[in-house]
Formats: sequence, C-alpha cells, structure tokens
Amino acid sequence: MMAKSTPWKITLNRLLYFMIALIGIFFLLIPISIFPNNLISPEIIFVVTLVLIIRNPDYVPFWLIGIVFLLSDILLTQPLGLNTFVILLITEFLRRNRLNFMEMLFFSEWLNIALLLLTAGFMRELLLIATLSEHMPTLTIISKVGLSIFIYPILVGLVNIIFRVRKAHKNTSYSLGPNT
Amino acid sequence: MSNRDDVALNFTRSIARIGLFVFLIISFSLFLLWRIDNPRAENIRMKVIDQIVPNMDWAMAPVTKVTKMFQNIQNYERLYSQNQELRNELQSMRSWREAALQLEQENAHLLDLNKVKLNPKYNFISGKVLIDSGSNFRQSAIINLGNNDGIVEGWATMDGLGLVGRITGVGSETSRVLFLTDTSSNIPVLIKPSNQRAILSGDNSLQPALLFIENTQQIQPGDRVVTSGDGGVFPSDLLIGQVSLNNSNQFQTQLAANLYNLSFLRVIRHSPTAPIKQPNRLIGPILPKVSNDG
Repeated sequence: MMAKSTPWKITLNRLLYFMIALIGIFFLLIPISIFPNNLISPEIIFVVTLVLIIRNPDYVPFWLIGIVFLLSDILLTQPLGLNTFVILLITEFLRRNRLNFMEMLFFSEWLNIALLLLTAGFMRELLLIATLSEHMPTLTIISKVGLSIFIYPILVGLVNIIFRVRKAHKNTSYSLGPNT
Repeated sequence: MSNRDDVALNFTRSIARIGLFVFLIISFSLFLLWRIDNPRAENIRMKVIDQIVPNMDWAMAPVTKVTKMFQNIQNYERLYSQNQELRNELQSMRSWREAALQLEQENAHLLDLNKVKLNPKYNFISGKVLIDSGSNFRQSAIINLGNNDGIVEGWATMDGLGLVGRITGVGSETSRVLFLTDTSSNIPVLIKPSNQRAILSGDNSLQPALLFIENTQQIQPGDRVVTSGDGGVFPSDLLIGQVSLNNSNQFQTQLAANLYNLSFLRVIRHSPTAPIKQPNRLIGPILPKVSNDG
C-alpha cells in the first residue's frame, strides 16, 4: 500500500503541474512563425490532467484545473470559458469514477480515456453549434482527438516519472477526499 | 476514523462541491458573454493579455532566438539553390529597375505638367510582434503598441511591403492585429490594370480568396491587388499582393507581406476623409441654416 502524500508534497506537485501547464501555453504562444497554421496539436495539458486524476487526484484540484484552462482560453484566443467548462465537467466525471479506472488494465483505461477525449471534443463542438458560432471542421476535431489519444501512453510514462506517481491500490485513502 | 474527522471531511467536501459549481457557472457564463456580447468579452481578454504579455517578453526572446537560429541553419542547406534563384531574380529585377526609372522620369514630367496635388503621405508607427495567438479560430497576433501610442481600432497594418491586416483590439500597451487570412476578414480591393473591384476574403489559408469579382474575364493571374479604400476603413492603394489561380480555377491572392517571418509591423495612421452624404455638401462651404418660417 502506498503512503499518504504529505501536504508539502501535494503543494509542490500542484506547483509543478501549474508550471508545466504554463510552459505548454507559452510554447503555443511564441511567435516562431505566424502563418495560418492548420497545424493540429494534441491537447497535452488536458491529457496530463486526466492522467494525474487517475494516478493522484490530490495534485489536480478542480480550482487549479479551472485556473489553468481559463488562462489558456484567454491567452490562446479561444472561445472564452468554453474549454474550461467542458474540461471541468469531464475531469469531474473522471474523478468520481476513478475507482473503476484504477482497477482497469492499461489497455481498457486507454480505451475509456479515448472515449472521454472524444466526448470532450464533440461537447465543445455541439456547444459552439448550439450557440450558432464559428466552429472547427469535424475532421480537424477528430484528428486532434486522435493525436491526443495516440500520445496518451507516452504522457502516462512521462507523468509517472516527473510526478513519481503510480496507479495506487484501491484501498489508499486520500487526505482531502476525492472531490477536492 | 473518529466522528469529528468524518464531519470535517464532509465539510471540506461540500465546500469543494460548491466551489466546483461556482467555477462551472463562471466559465459557462463567460462563454455565453463571449457569444452574446463579443466586443465586451474581447475587451476583457485584451485587459488580461495587456497585464500578462509584456511581462513575458524576457522569457520569450531567448526561445524565439534559438528557434530562429535553427531555421537559419536549415536555410544554409538550401543556400546554393537560393543563390541561383537570387541571381536569376536579380537579372530580371535589373530590367524592371530600368523600366521603373524610365517611368519615374515620365511620371515626374507628367506631374509637372499637371500640378497634381498628391495625397499627404500616410505616416506610420512601427511595432514589434509580441505573440502569435493564432488558433484555428482566429488568425491574429499581439503587437507592443496600444492606446498609449495612439493606436485606434481599424487602422491598417503592413509589413515593409504589403498589407497584413487591421487592428481589432486595443489595450493600453498592446493591441491585436487580425490578419487578412482570418475567416472574418473581408476587405474591398481593386485589381489593378483592369480596375476590377472585388472582396478579399480570408479562409485560414495563406492565399485569401477573391470574391464577387465584377468581370472575371478581365483579370489574369499576376495582376496586382491593392486596397480600394471603399467603405473608408482602409486608405486606398495599399499593396496586398498578386492574383493567382488555384486548382479549382478560383481566384486567390498571393500576399506580398511575408507572413512566415513577421517580427515588426507598421501601423498606418490614417484618418478617414469625411464622407459626402448630402448633395449640397459637394461644392463650397457649409451653408448657414435658414429657418423656413419666413
């Protein structure tokens, strides 16, 4: 059984998560080339968040997720608040069902995460369509989601190394409860 | 676990639940605000960017430098072929220069004959591109000029050669430039030798489409595209690029501005001329109002 994380370690890892998110946003913003990029980039920060929630939800509380994605919405000129809303819903859903995810073998975990990513992509699209605003072509979304699914195992490996987390045993209790 | 601990845990949980709910409501209402009152939402965005981006400059500069260096190294590999190309281009440029000189002399001569009053030169302010916030939604960049430098929304921005876009949001120290390539950019243009009017409409590609051309028979790939000045948003006769045909035989524009490598931009200061709305304003000063009673 894993030892409980100390508050100090939790704070440190939250800070680490925040820094990684900032660096991610930062790299998307650097003016390397300003031509219209139909470049499809995977949603790395989102995937890292999902990985962490299954491994150790204490490191990514909802308010931290909210702040990070609100910041990225503002800075990356995306529809304000939309991404934040969708991702908070998805991560909260995952947080409530993480016990199931912890029992899964990696392959089925991957499959379920893929479904979640797809849901998030289409939820965003549906909200944009429902409010009659400009939306991305479906192919772009599918390839974006596909790329995110593809890099999931890579990011799991990286997160395991950087945050030193592992899928905990089911019986481990968390200091602040599953909803913080 | 003791009873007291349980109560404390429940308390934190319910606080967390409320917090999450608040966060969801805030983000959703932000989205609704963005959709309903877009200018105000973009204003909020500009304010936040205005606070953050100028402070990020120190971190951005070295990273940008390094990536530029790598791109330069890639360029060296193509040096030989580029050199050949440049030689060929130089050759043709020489003949153009000759033609231009002759035209200039002719022009000076004609102007002398005509005593034409030239437009006062548009003057400009130069700014540096801070960040490229282009996403699939918006093709735009943030520059380091704002209200404090007298930037006004709607002004045209160019790189050294051609039109790049227009100012769409102004903070106190930064402002946003919406590129011609953005889907919401539609500009009245003039296609030069034949003086055909058209609309240059961005479509997220490097070659914006030319729509509503009056007579497609009269234009050919290679014709020059300039702003027409219709509608008074842009000054007229700013170079945009050249006409080209795409695979499906539709007219597009090859932009003269180099969007691949944009680091400085010129914002054209331009105050639109007062539109003529009433017929009696065409000639002469404004007449004093005469009452109709007597």
